[in-house]
Amino acid sequence: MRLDEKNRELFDLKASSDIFVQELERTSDWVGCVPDSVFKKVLPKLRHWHLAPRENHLIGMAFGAILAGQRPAVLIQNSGIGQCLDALLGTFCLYNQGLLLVISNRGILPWEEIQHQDWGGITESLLSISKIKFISFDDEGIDGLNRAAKMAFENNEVVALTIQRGNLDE
Amino acid sequence: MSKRVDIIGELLEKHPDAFFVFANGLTSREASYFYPQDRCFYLLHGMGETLSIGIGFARAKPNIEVVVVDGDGNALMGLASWTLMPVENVHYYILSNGVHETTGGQVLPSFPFVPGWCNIIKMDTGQEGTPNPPSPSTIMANCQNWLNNNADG
Repeated sequence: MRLDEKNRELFDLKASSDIFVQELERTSDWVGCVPDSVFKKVLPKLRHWHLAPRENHLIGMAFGAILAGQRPAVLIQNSGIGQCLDALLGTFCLYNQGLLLVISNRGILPWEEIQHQDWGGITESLLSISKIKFISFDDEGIDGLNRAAKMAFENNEVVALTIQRGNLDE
Repeated sequence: MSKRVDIIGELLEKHPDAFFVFANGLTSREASYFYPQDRCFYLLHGMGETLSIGIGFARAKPNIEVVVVDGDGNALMGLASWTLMPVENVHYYILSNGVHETTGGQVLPSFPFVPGWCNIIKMDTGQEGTPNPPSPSTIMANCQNWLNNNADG
């Protein structure tokens, strides 16, 4: 753990946004996002990314991209899982296609706003019962990103990478 | 007005070189049974995502004409995806009978607005007897086969 400028606890920094973008663009050739503050330094550094109004439509767009032969990665906040689970199950999971699902795991730290805390408490459980494998960026750092992408695109499955607040520079 | 199956046939004839994305439910069932073609992706689930899938494909393949055929119930569920339109190589058609026919004919609300790029085709209620659509793996393999032969669009 480390402290931010407001003396609040953060998880350890695992990679700079520059390195994260470099590896994300190396492992995926299509990136989409419903913006979250955890990704605010990541997004401007991407060569190109697709904005969607809601997470379910982001999953739909990513699935269209994989039909076109690309390797998609999507960046969402954990609450977005609630918006896109049916789209995930009805496209990538049903048709056995690979997706790197990067999730900011909001609501874990005690100072985080109350509206995030319910999601912080259920994110990993929800992924587990949805049979979506996940890798902790806090545990594995950039190696975890690479491992998640490798699993997703070699095994044709959805693999989530969960990112804690502080793991990236914000 | 026309039957769903006839409208689908007319759209396939109107866009002979296009890649098609059909909505789940009766749209995919009738399209896949009466007009099985490798250039067609048949959604089996994912309500409301027909247009977003077509847009994702079209952006990745800007030289390929993409036709999205939605049902009106599906389209209403996916209204937020309309903010991603227009896309130059996407044609969007909504087959509209005003009800959720697959689930028993519940009446739908009206579209709050209809942009110029959105083509609503009125159709009769009623459905053709069809078997289940092809399996997901068959649908993917057929589309991949078409794309391998049309990679440059």
